[in-house]
Amino acid sequence: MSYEGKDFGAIVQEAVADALGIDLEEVVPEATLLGDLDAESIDLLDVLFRIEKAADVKIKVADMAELLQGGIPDEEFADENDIINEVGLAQLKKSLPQIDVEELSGKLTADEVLTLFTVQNLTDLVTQRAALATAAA
Amino acid sequence: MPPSPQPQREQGAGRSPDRPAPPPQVRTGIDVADVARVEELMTSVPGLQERVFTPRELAYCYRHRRAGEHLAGRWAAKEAVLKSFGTGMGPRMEWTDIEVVNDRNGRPRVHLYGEVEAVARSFGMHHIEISVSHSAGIAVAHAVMVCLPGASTRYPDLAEGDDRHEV
Repeated sequence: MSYEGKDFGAIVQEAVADALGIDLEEVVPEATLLGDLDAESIDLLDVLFRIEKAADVKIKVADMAELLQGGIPDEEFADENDIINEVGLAQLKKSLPQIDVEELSGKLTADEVLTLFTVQNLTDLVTQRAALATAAA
Repeated sequence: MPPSPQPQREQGAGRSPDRPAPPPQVRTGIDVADVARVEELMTSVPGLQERVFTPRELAYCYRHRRAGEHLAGRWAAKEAVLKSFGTGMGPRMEWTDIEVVNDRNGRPRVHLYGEVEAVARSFGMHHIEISVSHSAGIAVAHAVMVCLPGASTRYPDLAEGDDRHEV
């Protein structure tokens, strides 16, 4: 499968705008999908399906969560109160380079993690998946 | 004068040998869906509704004049079942792993397959009850999963599998 010439940033931006019924200009890379853009689960289904059609890259909502946790078991990712610990924050920083680990330390709960996912993070995930598919071909 | 402490009971003290078994655990999930949003999405994006609904579900919905209400009800039901897990959509799950079908009396029943069924089994699921309704452009579904006592409450780490069984 060839991804040559595909502008994943533009594909993601258009998919998000079309699915949420908002202007392209509102879909800035730093906007969080669930927070700033107020996407719900059905919107994410719409966004990801549009991306799949336009980019030939299949991504599920669970892939986003998995990417963020990086395979680290729940009990090593957060403490008993579901506050993300140092190990978890270090992992999140890999996938979400925009986050301020010091600011989030001791405050970020597990259910808030997905709300940090931005348009840029989604573009990165699509790009990464396309690269993996190319390498496997 | 401070209250006197309650006497400590030894664990198991006073239990008769035929004491009833502990009650089952119950997990619930609820979801509402905008009928117009679901209908617009499922009918305007080619191929999407087949990704979300099984052929049996689609056949049921499109037998009805207001198919959108039934599509939205089933979407809400799938979300409600996932919410009863406490985790939402997990890795390797497909929307079609949750199927809502109506019995001959019109009562909706849930069939689980694949990864969704495997996760439900790991919670000690005995059965799931579902209730679906719609009015004023909104569909709502409530799932109640009845689990055997003593079952795990944590999300399992399951190996990939695609065995399909009805519940």
